[in-house]
Amino acid sequence: MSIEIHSIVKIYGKESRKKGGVRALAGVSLSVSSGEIFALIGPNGAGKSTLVKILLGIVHPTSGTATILDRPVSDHSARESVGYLPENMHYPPLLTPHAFLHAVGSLHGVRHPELSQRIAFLLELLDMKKWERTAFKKFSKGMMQRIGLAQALVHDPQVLFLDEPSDGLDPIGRKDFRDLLKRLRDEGKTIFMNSHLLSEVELVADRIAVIRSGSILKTGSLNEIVPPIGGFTVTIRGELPEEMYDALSIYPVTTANGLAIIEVPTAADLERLQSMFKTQNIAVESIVARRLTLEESFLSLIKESPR
Amino acid sequence: MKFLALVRYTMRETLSQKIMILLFAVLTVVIGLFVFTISLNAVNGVVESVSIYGSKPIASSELPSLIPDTAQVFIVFIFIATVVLCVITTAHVIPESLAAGTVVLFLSKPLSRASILLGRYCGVVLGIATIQVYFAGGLWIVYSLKTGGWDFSLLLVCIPLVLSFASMFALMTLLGVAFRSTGLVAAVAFVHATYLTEILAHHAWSSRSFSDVSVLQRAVGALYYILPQVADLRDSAVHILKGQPVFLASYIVAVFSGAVMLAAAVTMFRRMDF
Repeated sequence: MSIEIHSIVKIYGKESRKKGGVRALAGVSLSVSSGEIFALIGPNGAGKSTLVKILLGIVHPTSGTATILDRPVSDHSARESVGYLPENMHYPPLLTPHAFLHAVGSLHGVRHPELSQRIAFLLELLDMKKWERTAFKKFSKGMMQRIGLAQALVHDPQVLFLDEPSDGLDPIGRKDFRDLLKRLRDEGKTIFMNSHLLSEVELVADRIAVIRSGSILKTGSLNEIVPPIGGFTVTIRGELPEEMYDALSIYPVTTANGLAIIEVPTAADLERLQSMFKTQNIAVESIVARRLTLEESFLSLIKESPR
Repeated sequence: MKFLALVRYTMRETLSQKIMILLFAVLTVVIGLFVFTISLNAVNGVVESVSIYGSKPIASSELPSLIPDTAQVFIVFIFIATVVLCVITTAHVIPESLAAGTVVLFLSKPLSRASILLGRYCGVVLGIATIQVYFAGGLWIVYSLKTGGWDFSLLLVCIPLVLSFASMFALMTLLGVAFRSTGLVAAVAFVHATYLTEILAHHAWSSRSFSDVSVLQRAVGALYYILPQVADLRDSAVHILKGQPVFLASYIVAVFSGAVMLAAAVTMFRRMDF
């Protein structure tokens, strides 16, 4: 396991709730495997940021233990192979990305010439090469976010923590970012992300945990968090033959952009349709089990759980 | 190596501030004025006469009465330029380092909290020391070139100068960690560097026996040994310039009180949540 969390409790202020302390985490336990994109989702004040900050040594837990790559998080050497993209990082306005990345890489112990090569590679990868000698004060939020990601990756970490990573990125930037995360995962890196953008999480996360009021409500893959609601969406490329019109009239069918999309309510109906398509030599483009979106599931989970 | 990287980063950050660049420019102008306005006529490294901005030369026989006052004014100017101004311009460093968007950058790195705070401290002190040595050293080079005598002992002025800022910044680090307020750090540091240090340096309690003094006087006496002795270090610099014996106690107290303040700041910082 890359990240192990055992019964972490965090009470801000006084050590006990009776004395006026605020409980941010109420015994959270989690584990994240190597080469996995893990997303922590929850409403504001659920404890997402506190948990990440405990893992990074920014906040001290009231009780419980956590390890990263088998090293306790209280030991600063646990962060040698950890990269972190905070939500609202402050960049020295007069420094340039090149100077900043050089400094951050040095703080991780990366030396020249490896550091210079790594900086050049990351600036190219994140499409920031032409801005490498421009002071931060001239940067937009999206550009800052790209540099934030570069600083998190400058020492080629094994574990990456991302706090609201898509914040400030345009749709193209988000797509590039998702591709980058998948590529990092394929390289065996572990990615732990916090995000409010559930549509983004849905597209990239291997496993998801839902947290509320400092407690984990549910953990699992996307299929486990968002179970099928019954029925299938069948997509066929091209026109449907006329002889099938009667058979298909009982299902909602829509056509657009040369595709016919049929909503099928049950597995038995799907089986019957598939044999008809086979007889008619109709190629099926895709069959997808119908499910709620992550956002719909999340809202229903939050609504059902006691506060 | 990581600690040194943090020191280097902080030093660079400190010196890249516009106000520091301006200070460098102003000090360079002052060195330039020294080059062009003061004419020293020296024989074998000994000043025979001084002429200021083309005025009638002051003979060497009149110099003994002139040099002590000039030295005092000169040192006070250096202290104001490089200690008081630098104290104000660096007041933000520790509070801003502990601000939400910045502290995470440091804490998420494989550095202990003690290394982070001490790295920031050393970076700022080295950055300011660069300015101080540049100014004092620049004036010394000009003076040596004009007189033809290279008196290296004059360069010792840099020691009380750097130590003054270092001990002041230890106090500012403690205040910055405790209150995280730039305004408060700047105000306290300015008041101390300009007024409080003078009051403490001239207090009279030490001349009496401990039982004779009031509680307030004892408190003032204790503060004298706790807070940075900027005025004493400045006076020590004047003694160096005049070739008089130097009282080492103020150096020892500055180092000791600075170390205690840094230790207190580190202890507080290690317990903090951000």
